[in-house]
Amino acid sequence: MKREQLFTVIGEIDDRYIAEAFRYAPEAAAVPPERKANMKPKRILTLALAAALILALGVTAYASGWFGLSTRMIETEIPDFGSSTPDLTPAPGGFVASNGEADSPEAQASLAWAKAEERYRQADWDWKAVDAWTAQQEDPACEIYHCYNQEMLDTLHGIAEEYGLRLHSEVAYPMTQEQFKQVTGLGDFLRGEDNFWQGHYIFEDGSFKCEGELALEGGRLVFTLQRSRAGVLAPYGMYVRDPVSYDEWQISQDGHSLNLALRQNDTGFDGLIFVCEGEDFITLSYGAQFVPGTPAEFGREGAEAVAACFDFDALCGGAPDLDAVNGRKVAPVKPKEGLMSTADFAETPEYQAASRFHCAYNEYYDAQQTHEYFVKGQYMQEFYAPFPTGVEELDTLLQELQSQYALRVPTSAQAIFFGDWARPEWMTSLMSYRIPEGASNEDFHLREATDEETWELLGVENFLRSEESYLASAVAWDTGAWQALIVYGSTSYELCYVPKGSFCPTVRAFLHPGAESWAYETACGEQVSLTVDGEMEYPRFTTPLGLYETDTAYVLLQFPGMCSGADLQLFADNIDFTKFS
Amino acid sequence: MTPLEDSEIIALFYERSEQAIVELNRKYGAAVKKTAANILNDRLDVEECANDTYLGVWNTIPPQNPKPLVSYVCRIARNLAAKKYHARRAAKRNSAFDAVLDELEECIPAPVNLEAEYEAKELSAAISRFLGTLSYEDRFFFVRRYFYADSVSDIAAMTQGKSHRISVRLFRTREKLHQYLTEEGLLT
Repeated sequence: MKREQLFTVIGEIDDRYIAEAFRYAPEAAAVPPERKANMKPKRILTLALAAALILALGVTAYASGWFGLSTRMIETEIPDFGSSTPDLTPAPGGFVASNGEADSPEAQASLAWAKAEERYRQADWDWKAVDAWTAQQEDPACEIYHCYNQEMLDTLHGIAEEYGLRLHSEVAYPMTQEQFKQVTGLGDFLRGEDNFWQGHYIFEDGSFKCEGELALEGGRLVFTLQRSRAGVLAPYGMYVRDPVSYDEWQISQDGHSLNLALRQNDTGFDGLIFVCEGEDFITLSYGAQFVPGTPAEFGREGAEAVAACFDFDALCGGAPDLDAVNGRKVAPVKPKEGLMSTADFAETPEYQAASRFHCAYNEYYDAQQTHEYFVKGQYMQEFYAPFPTGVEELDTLLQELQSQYALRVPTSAQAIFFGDWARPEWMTSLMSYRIPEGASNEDFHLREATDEETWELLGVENFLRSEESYLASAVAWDTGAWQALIVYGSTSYELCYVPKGSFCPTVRAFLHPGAESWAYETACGEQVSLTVDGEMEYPRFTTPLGLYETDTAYVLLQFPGMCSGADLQLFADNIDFTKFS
Repeated sequence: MTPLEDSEIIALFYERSEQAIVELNRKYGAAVKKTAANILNDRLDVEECANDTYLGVWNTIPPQNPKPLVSYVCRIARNLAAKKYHARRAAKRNSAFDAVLDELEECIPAPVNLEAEYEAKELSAAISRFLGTLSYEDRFFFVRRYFYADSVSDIAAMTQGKSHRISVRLFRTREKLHQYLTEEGLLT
């Protein structure tokens, strides 16, 4: 098909979706944003099982102590986000603050800030100027409340003062569930082995936000969970469109009063659960869309099954300790005899050849980009396909490198790309997968890869120590070199296995090859060298690195962009280096 | 000053008041220029496209009474920009926009006879149905990338997200679209 015709076809999609995408507003969407779409559940907590939990927990319905949608919502005009519902007529709605009833100072202030934010976000921002101003600010409220300039920050302080509230003063971003529990002092709050959650941020008073997925019969449901506390201007709330369309009722679960609200139509549903316990305000929002052609049933039973997945006892209380994340320090040890530093690695032929190719490939890639907003010099691209590249200047360089360093260059590769077997000759970089003209649909269709096949491809046993970690992608070359993309909690990083004497195209060039590294004893008992690679030199990013050496290979942990020394140690602890030979 | 409601702007067009263009530019001018700039690689061309867009809106409202107005205006801007782009010589081509077309072609590679207007409309309708099955975020990413032709880094800035994650999500969505269209019988 002609590309121009295809572009025209896309131009004729439903107006609703064009308008909906005019401005990013996930809080106004009927369905919360999806997360972790590539997570593979091992077993499913069915709706039937969740219903059994309802009986086991002694859930009963009653109607007193109402803290539901009706009492939490402030009627207000919802900003023009566009609508994805069939009826485009503006509907009445309101704003729900995360930490107070409608008439509380917390709710009034939260709404005032939401309105102010909306006005500021409509402006055209010079993002470079915003970055420059933000970098100079010491007020933690600037980052927490996403203020772009002094006027915005002053407005925020003014609102807090007007309503007699304080602002959040510190935030931590836990990367793993384990960190989240350390920071919050909470235990497991989500029932069901295949229900997934990830903490996003937590504030100094114990307020936090996390998101996740529930595995229910017929599909997955995404949720957002917020716990907030009184006395503070909360940086997040939500708009609720057409509240009269919600069915509202109360139940009791584990001795807690739960206020439920559910709205459902032919295409899907979205629900809310409010719990107020002492100083803790808990708001759970969730939703899903029905798969076309499947029965559209959810109802109160489904909503109560969602509630039954959460242990609200475990969500209350706790003692926040942000130092558990923010206070982590680099922990160097005395290097064992013969431990290779990252600076020494930078002198090896394996690094010298690969880094020169990495730079050349990125310079070639940058030269192809002519858009005026493209920033050259970031050196973020990696070349994954086998050789030759088909680009004369790169293949000429490759021949020079082969001649100079006498390394084995890969001529074939196998790849598993986000859970499916991929055609490596169609992969140029991780972000690019180009299908040649004339390819058939059968060629395009990718076969799903099993976990066992992934480890077999790499020729190594599972080296991941945390259950929160998995391999998202893997590429293996015929030289024995391979690279895996590791997902760990909310972050990801690469592990390169480079047999000595081989050329691995995905070894990144350091910005500061002579940068100091430190020896670190990882959780598996093996020592590695770690380096943060020094200061960033805009637009070029640094390349933090973890280095482990065996008799026959180098094992590299590579991180796209800056990360702290404490984070490097956390990522290194996730690897069982004893698995590598 | 708060921008006018869409209905008020359309009323000005019906009154043939030149204030309609002023108000349209105030409310959607940035979006029009951004949409054009994502496709065209030249500031003068972007300005020209924006002006042509306003003229196009002036000439068609009335009798059109579009709801929502933003979709109507951005579609005109997009179509005019694409027309200007394809008319260019190779030296002024925009590789970033070419990348958008490349990605679309990846997920719909099989030849479909688009000479028949009916089949083109059927494909658009199918893609719209597909978009309805997506989460808000995936749909947002898709429409920003392939209707508005935003770069991945622009989308990341809009959503305060990471480019890497967005690229991955777009890739998976393109895969799903391909599968969806195959199951609908629209790809041979």
